[in-house]
Amino acid sequence: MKNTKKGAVDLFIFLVGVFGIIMLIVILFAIFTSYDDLKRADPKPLGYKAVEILSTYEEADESLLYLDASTRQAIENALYRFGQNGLQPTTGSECGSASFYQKWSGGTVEKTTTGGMSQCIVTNTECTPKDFEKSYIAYVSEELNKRISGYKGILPKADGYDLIQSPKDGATEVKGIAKTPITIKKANYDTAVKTELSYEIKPSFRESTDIDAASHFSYTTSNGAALNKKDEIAIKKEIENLNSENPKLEWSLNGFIKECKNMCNTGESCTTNCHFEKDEPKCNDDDFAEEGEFCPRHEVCDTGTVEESYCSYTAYIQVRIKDDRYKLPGEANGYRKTPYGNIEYWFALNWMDESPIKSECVV
Amino acid sequence: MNKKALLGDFVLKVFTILFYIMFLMIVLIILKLPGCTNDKDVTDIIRSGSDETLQLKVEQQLITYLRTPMPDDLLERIERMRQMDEDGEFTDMQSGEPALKWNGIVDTIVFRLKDGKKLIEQHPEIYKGQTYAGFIAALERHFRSEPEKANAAFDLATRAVFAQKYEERITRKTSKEVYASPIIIVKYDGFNPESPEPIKTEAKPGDLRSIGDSYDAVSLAAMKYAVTLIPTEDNPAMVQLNAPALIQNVRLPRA
Repeated sequence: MKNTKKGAVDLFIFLVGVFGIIMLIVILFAIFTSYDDLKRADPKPLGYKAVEILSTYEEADESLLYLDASTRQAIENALYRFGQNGLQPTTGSECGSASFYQKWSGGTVEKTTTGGMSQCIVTNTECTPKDFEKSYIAYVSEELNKRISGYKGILPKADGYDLIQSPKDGATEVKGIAKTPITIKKANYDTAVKTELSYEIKPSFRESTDIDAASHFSYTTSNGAALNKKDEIAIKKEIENLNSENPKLEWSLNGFIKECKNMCNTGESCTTNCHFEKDEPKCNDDDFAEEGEFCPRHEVCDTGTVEESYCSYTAYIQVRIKDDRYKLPGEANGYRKTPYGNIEYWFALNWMDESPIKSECVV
Repeated sequence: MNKKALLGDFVLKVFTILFYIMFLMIVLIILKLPGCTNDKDVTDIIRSGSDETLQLKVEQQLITYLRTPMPDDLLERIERMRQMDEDGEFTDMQSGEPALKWNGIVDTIVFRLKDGKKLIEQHPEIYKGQTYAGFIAALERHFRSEPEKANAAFDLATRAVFAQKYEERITRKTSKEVYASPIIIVKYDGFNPESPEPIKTEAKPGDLRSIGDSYDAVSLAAMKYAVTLIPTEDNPAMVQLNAPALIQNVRLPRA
């Protein structure tokens, strides 16, 4: 009996040993298998999900940086072009241009016929710029588009924003809000079914430049229009007054041209080049006929039409923005500069005398 | 039970226990053997996690730099740095040589203080009222006509704006303030704007480069790159910030 018990105990120890060994082999096998799985699975780094979320923000921020920088540049470049274009819309002045100055007024003379009567009528048209915001925003939009179109990211083009020029003391501010949001997507392999990490944002911006373009616009247009139809001396005097009244803007008359070669043909018939011709061809050079009689003559005239000459006047005006921060060494005054050129407002006033200075009959 | 049987039983039990202990030790040794464990994988996982975070940090740092408003007193800052350089106040932390090399040669890029300063002086519009991105965009025109002057102006401005105190090293005898300026490279064209590739830091004509105070082989070996695009008048320009892991800085003696 005692021997049987001892045998059982020994068998138990033996079996426990065998099972122990089998269990350890199984544990080892499981550990190594899981190591292999870990290696094969190409594990994601710790915190990769958070990093991925942050990287979508970062990607959006990169696009917004590009948008902000584009707007900042567009605001200044648009202002430069706006000034060069005489504060007129992108299409230019309806009165046309004189040299590279856009006209704020234009005089023309044209023939009109009423009741069979023809006459030349002088028309002096005003083309003073009117709508600051509408015109300026059109320039900004063009400049913004030029820059955004070069970006291969996810930004909407300029017409994809609601652009507003908002009043700001001493500055020009442009706000823009995208009409549709942009979405940044990243594949998410964390789940069994591939999903996407999606970050949606509506790009917007508010950028400004320290040039009070709206005030300059209203001040320049109202005072510029008042110079129309004044003679050279009066304009110079008026400019002097403007320069002392507002030292921040410097007006100058870059030229005053009077031109009286503007012709208008009324169509009314007239005679010209009248002269006497001998009736008899036999008359000699001394106006006597062969038989000593006086040689008769008759008057001969060319028939033509009445042409009238009018004088036109063009004053070329430039308004510069004084800013001593941009004063160069050796210069007396500093003027507001941008990387695109100085911000200046260029315009021409052109008008015509109401009555002709002379009428002549032209064949 | 006789004495012999008892001894045999005891020996068997001792051997069984010893066998278990030995087996456990073998298992533990196997688990610690290099190649048999995932220690390296785990380390890699942690390291690559921190690499990603560092990459994000560099990218965000570049955006922050580009949004930084340029100071109106840029010329005064440059002048201050020039004066300090002349007085020998900047020193390379490793070699002990003058560090900024205003008039010296760093690789094949020649930074000429006079030229760069003159360009900034004559064109205040390139920095006044601009951000760093606007400054880079405004430099493009000058880069097309006078690349060397533009490069010098870019380097001067970058150092003057972004050189900042990195750390303070205090020993029993001395106290040194360590300053660093970043490595920033600008490429106006000649890259694919759809997927801008990082460009090498080695000197190469055709780019604007400010290689800062941390340009050496060691720091280049562990470099993180951040690349982004900024608009210019014609095309987007690529701006790259290189963030070395090891920063070799300049020091300023305490005033």
